[in-house]
Amino acid sequence: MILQWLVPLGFLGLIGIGLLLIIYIIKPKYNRRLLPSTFMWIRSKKFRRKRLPLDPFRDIFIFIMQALAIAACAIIIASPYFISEQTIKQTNEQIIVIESSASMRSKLIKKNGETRFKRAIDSTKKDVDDILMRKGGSISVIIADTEPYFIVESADRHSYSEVIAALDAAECSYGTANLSKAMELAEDRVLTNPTAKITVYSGKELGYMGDAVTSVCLADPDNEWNIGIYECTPSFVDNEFKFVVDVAAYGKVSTDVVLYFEIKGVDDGETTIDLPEMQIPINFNVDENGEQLVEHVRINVDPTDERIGGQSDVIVDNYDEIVVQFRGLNDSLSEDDSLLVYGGKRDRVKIEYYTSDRNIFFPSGITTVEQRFASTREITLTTSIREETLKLSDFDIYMFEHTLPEAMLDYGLPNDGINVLLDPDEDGLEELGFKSNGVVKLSQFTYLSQGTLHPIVNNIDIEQIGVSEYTRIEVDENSGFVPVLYCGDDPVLFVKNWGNFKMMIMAFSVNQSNLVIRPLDFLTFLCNIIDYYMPTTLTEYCFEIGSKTQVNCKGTSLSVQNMRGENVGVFTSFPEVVTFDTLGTYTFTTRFGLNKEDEVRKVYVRTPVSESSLFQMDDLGFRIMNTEYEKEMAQDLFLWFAILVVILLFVEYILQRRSIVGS
Amino acid sequence: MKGGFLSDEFFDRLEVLSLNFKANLAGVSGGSHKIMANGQTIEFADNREYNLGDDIRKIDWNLYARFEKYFVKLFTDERRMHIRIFIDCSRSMGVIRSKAEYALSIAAAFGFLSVKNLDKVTFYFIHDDSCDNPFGDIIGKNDFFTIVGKFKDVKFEGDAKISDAVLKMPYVSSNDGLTVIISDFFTDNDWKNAVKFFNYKRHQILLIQTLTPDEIKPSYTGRNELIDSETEYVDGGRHLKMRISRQMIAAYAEAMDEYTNEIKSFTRKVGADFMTVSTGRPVEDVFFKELFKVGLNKT
Repeated sequence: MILQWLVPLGFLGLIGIGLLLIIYIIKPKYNRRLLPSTFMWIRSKKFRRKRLPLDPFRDIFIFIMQALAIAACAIIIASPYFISEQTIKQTNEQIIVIESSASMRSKLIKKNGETRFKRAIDSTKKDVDDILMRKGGSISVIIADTEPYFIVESADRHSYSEVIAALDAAECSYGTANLSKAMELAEDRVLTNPTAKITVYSGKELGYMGDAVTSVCLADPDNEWNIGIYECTPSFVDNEFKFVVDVAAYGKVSTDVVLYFEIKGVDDGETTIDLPEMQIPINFNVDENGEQLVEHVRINVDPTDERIGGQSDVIVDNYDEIVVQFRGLNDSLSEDDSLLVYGGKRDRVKIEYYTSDRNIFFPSGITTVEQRFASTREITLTTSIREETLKLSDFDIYMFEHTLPEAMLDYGLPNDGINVLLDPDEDGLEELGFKSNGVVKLSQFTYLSQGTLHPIVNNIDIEQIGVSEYTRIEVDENSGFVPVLYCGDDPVLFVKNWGNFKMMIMAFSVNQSNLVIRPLDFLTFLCNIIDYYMPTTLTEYCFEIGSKTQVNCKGTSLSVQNMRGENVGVFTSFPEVVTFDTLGTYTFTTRFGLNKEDEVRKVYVRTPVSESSLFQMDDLGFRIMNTEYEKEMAQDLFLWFAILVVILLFVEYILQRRSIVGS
Repeated sequence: MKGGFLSDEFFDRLEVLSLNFKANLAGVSGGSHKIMANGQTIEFADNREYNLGDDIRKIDWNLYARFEKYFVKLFTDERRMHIRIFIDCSRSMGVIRSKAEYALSIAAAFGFLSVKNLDKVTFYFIHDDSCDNPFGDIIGKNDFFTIVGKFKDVKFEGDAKISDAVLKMPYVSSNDGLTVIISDFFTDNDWKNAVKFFNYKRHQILLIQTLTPDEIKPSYTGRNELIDSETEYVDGGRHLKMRISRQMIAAYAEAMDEYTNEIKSFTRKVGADFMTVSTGRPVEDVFFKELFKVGLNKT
């Protein structure tokens, strides 16, 4: 073994021994003097105290010096260090990250039914007792929710009761934990205080994350298992809904589970199909390496299949709600034991087409669009060529071509839908309050140009569409009409979407245009009209907690309520984004502001599918290391201590010299 | 003892001195000290009217011729005094030989003055709580010088409890002379009761505090371990370890003044005389200067 004199502690130890030697060398010698009597010296004590109040301390100065030197040596050997309360707080700072996800709601089957989250909170309370009350440190607690946050930050013993109250008030999320972001928050604190330690309570095996991080996995494979409904997918085939249910099992479990499947509101709310119990066998399997395999079971559900209790006389082409659930299942996680499926009602779009000069383009085009939107919309077209059969109410879209009906000119435009005027006659326009400057007959075929960029002409090759004749229409700038297409300097397509006043004016006839002989552009144009004026509120009907979706509105406003009846928002401009943060059914109510009933759509917000898997491993990719701060601090202290001892030594030496010279 | 502070020349010089006792002392017959009581000497003192029973031989006829009244002559009386000299023989008095010799020299000088005037002198050596009187009462110079020669054998050791020693003395006559106590009085033991006792016995009392110059004003400074001679070999004795500075010496002087004043106050109260003598000064100074100041000497 090589003796290393330059090792700081050894070197300081040497200094300590040297100090002792120096003290003994320069220690003042007392002359023994035999006096007849010390009687008078003893009597002089009271006068001494008056004259030299500090003298007793001076007499024991060397003794103090010796004590200090010996203490220094002892400290060097024992290697302790003195730290302030702030430093104690720093060196004993603990950052606790508690995963708050749906899987943390997993209960122990055989024991007392405590959830992982409850166990994490209980362990944290013990940590709080240890760190705050015994070690005098500080503690920060991060709840790793979808958006991680501190419930306490750098709390010390004075805040003990607040910390416990915050822990008691903490609730486990139904969503997914963003552990990476939580670790970033913890890492920020470690950057502030390099001695801070991190403890992560999680349901996952997180692996090694550095010296500073202790990961506690709360998963207990012997006491936890879960069977969950993975997915229920409806498919609209041959004008009927059929369903596929996926079930997954996690953990050491082999059992038969009973699945219930109920379809409510079939046939416009008239019928409920309640399928009898379906027995599903679940088997626990391991692979060749002994690793547990996740059991997946897929069940095809045909509600008309009498073999499984379905009703063959009912056509399930719409429904209100489907309830899929396990009953009597006592697994660790109950949140994924049931599922509601919405979206069984397609949007109904009723279009009335009135023309004074019948052509096949619009009816056939709309029929084609109906097929295109079959899965989301149920489009019905009513064509009228005679005013007697024309109805000016109870339609979603009114399309008037060429000559406008007399009744409309008398009573005005219908007020419960979107009015689309296709090549309207000048007289009719002026009757409705628009200004017409006559028909423009072009000498040659003229291609249109883009006016204001508008979704109604999305994906249409505008420059390839031309007209030979159009009506020059003037609209007031403040009327809300947007000129979308131009022919030369004249606008030929106006769009307006103001609250309950929705209208489109196309100032040219399809007969004087090549629009209809460009079928792709024509159909796209029709789709754009429906999509723009009659957008579907939602495109999906099942979401996971924490997810977002874009919503639209064909009315004037859309209000959203969660399961608890709380208003999530009332929207008037679209598209809008809605975030789902509450488990259960969300209700979307579209208000039209016209003489139409509100339209209600529902979606189900469930726990994330990934949370059903109770035994996961996750490498967050974090490596947080503590520095050598403690050691450095101890060395610094020794250095200062050594300097102090040497200074005191010289002070004593000078005082002693002065005393000798003075006498 | 000669060869110390005493010498033949010193004793020769003392021949011119005599002790001046207080007039109210009675003494015993046979001495040379005049007292206030009328006696049988030939020295006229006063006249007083004749009373029945007076010796008619003492009638002053000259006054009768002048006043036609009888007056008798009164004459002074002369008595022998008893001088008791108590010497503190504790170790504190003897650890510095010069201090012991000085004390003994003073005692011897007092003895000489006594025997010179036909008085009786007794030396008491106080050891612990007893008064040793090895030489008995001394009358006459021959005996005195013989005894003074034995002073060198006096031991100074242990403690000296002056009051205990004095109060244990078998018999002390009253009103018959001078009591001298020679000590440094640096003791926690009570010595005041002894003084009160002699005061009760109506002795003339003189306290002589004998100190070395270092005891009056220490000349040593710096770090000293001060060993108390009387408790030198006693565990936890009155030893001190201290750094002596000028401030400390000033404090010592203050303590000294306070103690001296305390003694003076006490002696004044009991009608005793007190003087502090330094061994650094010649013994002659004690007798030719200090004793004059307290009025105990006369030429």
